[in-house]
Amino acid sequence: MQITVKLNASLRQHGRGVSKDGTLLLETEGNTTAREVVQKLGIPLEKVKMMILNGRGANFDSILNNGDRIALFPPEMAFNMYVAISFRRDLKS
Amino acid sequence: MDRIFRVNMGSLKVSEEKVSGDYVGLGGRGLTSMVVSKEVPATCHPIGQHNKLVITPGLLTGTTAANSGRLSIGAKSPLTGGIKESNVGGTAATKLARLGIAAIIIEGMPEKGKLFGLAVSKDGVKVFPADDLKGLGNYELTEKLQAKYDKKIGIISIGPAGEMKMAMASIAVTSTNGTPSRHAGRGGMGAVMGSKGLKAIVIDDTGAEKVAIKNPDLFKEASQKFVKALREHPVTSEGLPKYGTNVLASIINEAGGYPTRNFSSGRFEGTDKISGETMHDIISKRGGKTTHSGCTTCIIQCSNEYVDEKGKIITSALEYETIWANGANCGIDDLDAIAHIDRLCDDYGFDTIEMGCAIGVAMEAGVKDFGDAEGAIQLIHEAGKGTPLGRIIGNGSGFTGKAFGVTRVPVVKNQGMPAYEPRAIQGIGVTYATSTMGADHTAGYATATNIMKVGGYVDPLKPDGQMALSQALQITTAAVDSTGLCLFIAFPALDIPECFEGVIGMLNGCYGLNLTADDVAALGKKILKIERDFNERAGFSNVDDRLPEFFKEEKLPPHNITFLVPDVDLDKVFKF
Repeated sequence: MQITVKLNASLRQHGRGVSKDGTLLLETEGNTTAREVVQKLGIPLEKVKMMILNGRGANFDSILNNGDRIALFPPEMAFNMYVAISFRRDLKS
Repeated sequence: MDRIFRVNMGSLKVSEEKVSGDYVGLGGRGLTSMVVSKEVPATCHPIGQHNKLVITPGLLTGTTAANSGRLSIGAKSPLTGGIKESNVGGTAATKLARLGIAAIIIEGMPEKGKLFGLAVSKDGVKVFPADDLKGLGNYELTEKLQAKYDKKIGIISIGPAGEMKMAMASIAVTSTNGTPSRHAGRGGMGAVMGSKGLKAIVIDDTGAEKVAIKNPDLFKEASQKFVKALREHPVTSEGLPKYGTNVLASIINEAGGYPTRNFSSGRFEGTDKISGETMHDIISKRGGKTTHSGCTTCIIQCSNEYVDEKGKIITSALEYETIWANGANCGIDDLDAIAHIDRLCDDYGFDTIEMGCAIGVAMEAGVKDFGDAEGAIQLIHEAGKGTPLGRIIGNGSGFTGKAFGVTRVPVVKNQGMPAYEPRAIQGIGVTYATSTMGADHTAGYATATNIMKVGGYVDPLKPDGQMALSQALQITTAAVDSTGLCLFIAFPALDIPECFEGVIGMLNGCYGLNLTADDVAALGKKILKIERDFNERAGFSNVDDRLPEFFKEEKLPPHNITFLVPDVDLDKVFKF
């Protein structure tokens, strides 16, 4: 299956074949988790502070389906308090 | 910091008094709101003789505390008709505090058409005639005053918009680079200053003594703790300095909460062209400054200097809200055009958020097409020159909506909404609806987990938990706004306990107090109660604490969701 990954800010240096706006297409097996996607791109897990999957907050265990879009954000970006509390995976209660 | 200067613009008399009574122990927003509440009749006309303009540094301003250079400007708002505190950085707050000034209160009104300035120094406050400065934009005005006085003075000023008493007129404050690029934008404080016939305040702190610290050891230790947290946290040490506040554009757009074309969608297809990453690349390539300290004592440095292709500065601190309001909200994806718009707004003296909202509404009405950057620039020139169409725009989004018969008008208490869609991020919708300030993103931004024990994940698309979140954030923000500290300290405070301990320690060290986190929360509650009471006396009730009906009826793409928080929850926000 194919998913779209959007890398933001300092994460852009990690992906091979990233376009100018930080997006790349990734071929994966079915039932892939967000953790596996991050690992496949060679990004250290601690460099990903927030994930947004199809516009919704996600965490490392979130399962991806064909055609999904996942955006990854590094720790230096998680500001605006409402946004931080809504999307930061480490604040998940 | 215990001197209050009163300037009567009718008699042109200046008097000085000591801070006393209800004003003791307050600074920043706490002091502006207390003075407005005590001294301004809630039913007065905002640009009439009974309103007062209150200018105050925060409790920690003037000390060596990092990021303590914020200034609060308060009055009854010509835009909302309620109480207003508009917060701004730059250089003025620190200079006032170093002169021992807790507040300057501008009262009364001069003879029609007369214009004055104030010169503030260690010798006190003096009024000077300023008819020769009439009609000047903030940039030319600032250059003239710097040539006459000194390059190092701090300047608080209004442009033509304030002189014309437009409801979106801002008050400019000079940045550390001497340009009038920091603005108390929200709520039309520039119109109040204009109604007082006051064009500019020049501040020279030469010869000022150091701000007295009661317990220097405690202050120093707390201050170091605070600085360490700011330097350690990735948001304040990497994200904000490198990309500026606009780094948020990609996140909000991805979350489907980036208001687009007058709040008709939550995603803008042109976001990448105006994102923080793109802006960083453009500024770097052209040799501008991606990182810059705009405010005295700032160690975060979220500011930038946006330059044209020849490397000449267009504007300083092109910021998230400005880029969104005049970008995505108007369907414009041209960063150079947006930088030009920012420059024009700073020069004429307009709030960039209200301007972008009003242009979005005008575009909805068909006055210009969405995406027409030249058209947007033309509307700003009309507003700055005071043409009939320009006066419609210059009086804000609500006024523009009425003039053109538009129903999709994103305002609460007549103030235009900032850059977060309340249908996609429902918690901020609660704050927009209930804030004493009208739709305001900063009224609910602070250290929730530390003070209020609220934290953890709240689903942005669901109504659950949003009331408690907004309540906690509004209380803590009111308190932080009184310290003179920058709100961006909230991010390290969310993650590093020592950060907030540092803030409380600095307050205790500076004033010889024994405050705890509970006292800080109590201060926030007290300020909100004062503001709420003023608004009630001005005629506001819970029906004013609602979002416009289209948010409850029109489904916002991409989530196809409406605003779901029930009215009964909105009515609970101030039940504390």
